Amino acid sequence: MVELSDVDRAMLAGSEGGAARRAMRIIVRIAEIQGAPKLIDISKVHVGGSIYTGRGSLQVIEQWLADGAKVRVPTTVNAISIDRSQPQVSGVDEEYARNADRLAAALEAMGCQPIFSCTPYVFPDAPVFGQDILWAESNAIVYANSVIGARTNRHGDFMDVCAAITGRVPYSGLHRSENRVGNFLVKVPDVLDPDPSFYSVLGYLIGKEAGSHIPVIVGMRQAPSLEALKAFCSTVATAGAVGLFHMVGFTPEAPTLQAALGGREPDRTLIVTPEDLLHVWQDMSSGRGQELDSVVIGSPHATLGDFVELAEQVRGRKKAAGVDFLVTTSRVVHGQAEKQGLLDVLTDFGARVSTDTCLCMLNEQQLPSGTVGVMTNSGKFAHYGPGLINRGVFFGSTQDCVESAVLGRPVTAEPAWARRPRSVAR
Amino acid sequence: MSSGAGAGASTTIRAAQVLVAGEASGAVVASRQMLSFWGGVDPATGTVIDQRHSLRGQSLAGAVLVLPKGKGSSTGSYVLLDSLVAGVAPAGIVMNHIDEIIALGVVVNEEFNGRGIPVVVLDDADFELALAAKRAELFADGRVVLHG
Repeated sequence: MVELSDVDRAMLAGSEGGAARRAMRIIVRIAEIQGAPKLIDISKVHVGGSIYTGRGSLQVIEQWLADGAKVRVPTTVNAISIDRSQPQVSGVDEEYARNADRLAAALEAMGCQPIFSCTPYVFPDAPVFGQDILWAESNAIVYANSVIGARTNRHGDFMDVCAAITGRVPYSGLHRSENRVGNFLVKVPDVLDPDPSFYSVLGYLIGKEAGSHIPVIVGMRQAPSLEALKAFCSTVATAGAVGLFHMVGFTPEAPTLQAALGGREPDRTLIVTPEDLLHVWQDMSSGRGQELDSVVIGSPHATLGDFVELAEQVRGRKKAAGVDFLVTTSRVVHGQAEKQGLLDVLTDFGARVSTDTCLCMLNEQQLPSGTVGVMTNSGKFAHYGPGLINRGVFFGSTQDCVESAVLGRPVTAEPAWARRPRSVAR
Repeated sequence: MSSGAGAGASTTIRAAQVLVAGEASGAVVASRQMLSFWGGVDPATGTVIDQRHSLRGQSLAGAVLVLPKGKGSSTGSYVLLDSLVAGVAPAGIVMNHIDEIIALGVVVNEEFNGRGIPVVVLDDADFELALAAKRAELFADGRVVLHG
């Protein structure tokens, strides 16, 4: 039985209106499923349920709004299915675009901040260590828990709206300190030039192996960049059901191995070799043939650091005429990149930059007709892309993507981090 | 509990936990692989579109889906609800572990549209039996009858 507060019970009885009553009913049912003893307050929400997937979910959100749904805590919204800033180039069919817009509009009308980004952690009002929140979007969940040390469960979409309306979540899972202790030790090799593609591949490998365990990663010598962590979070959550990891020496709940493991022995240990990483790197690429029509970057959304790296690589160059080069990001980062003159560099190269939406919203209809070869630097899109656009997707580093776009055919260089191993951590 | 071995035999087991109570019967569609509904299942047709999944190309509509648990995107709840509204969802879902994303899609559909499907969790040994079954019936009290 879930022990409810007076306020919870009043909401269940309808004191805050029909929308809050329904939200509280759903939260209590989920709390019962989880065996949560009570509900707790959360102080921030990131709504992941902003992707238009079909009429059923749109009707639910619009019904909630019609019933008077209003957010009680600061709430941001994930990437949406269309680029509202340039609807004329979205290339999606009209009904889909209209419904995607209705979904975004309904969430805004509830009082959500329309940041429309899958990287809420790069925004100024990000959560802090120890804060109980509800963030949706699998990469953001992992980032919030692991890199920031905030506390959120991996909830399904709809729970985000329930939590925003009520300010409450079940006290379960990763909100409880005892459940945040690592139990799956992963020893990674010390490699040269661990760029974001290394972290994408490592995340994918660990996500596959981890199941629902909490990985504790040792062996890294240098602090990963924001972009490296973003890449890692996105693939570790894509390949598995991971909600939290610890990187010893680099993430806040893992100052030492002992602290990360809670002073216990790990349930399992995995020793990762450069060969394992190379196999996963090869496996993540499902593109075949010599044709390249499209390069897509920005899943999760490109950060300012991504724009800096990309601009360095494309400055003074031109992509091949037959290749579309798309970068997706948030409006905020788009503005920052513009201010620094980075967008001009990308435009001169021939890239187009789109905001609000992200690669995960791509579907077959949005690709230019006749598109065969698609390439990405996103491990997440390399995984989901084949299902979403019904084509194989080449996976490579950012540099591979740029070189391929210039040459007009897919080329991937065996990554330096796989070529020149140093030693395996003991 | 078992009514006998061999082809055509029926076995009655009991769910370790009922996440959503309900009744269903259908052909078993089973996989040992976890599945992300978002990006993994087409909400308009109920077909598995994850090209790396053992069930790729198979329709889940009307089936009793047997899988360890969900994975990946939190938007799985939307996709499952959309497929329920579109009438192409599984008739019931049998898992080996609690999965809130899957349960939530069904719970929200019950709360808003008054219609759900049973979602149950089996212990390890019973889950193995379910993986091997051809048909299954799920009952509101948590009984699961496996055929063939």
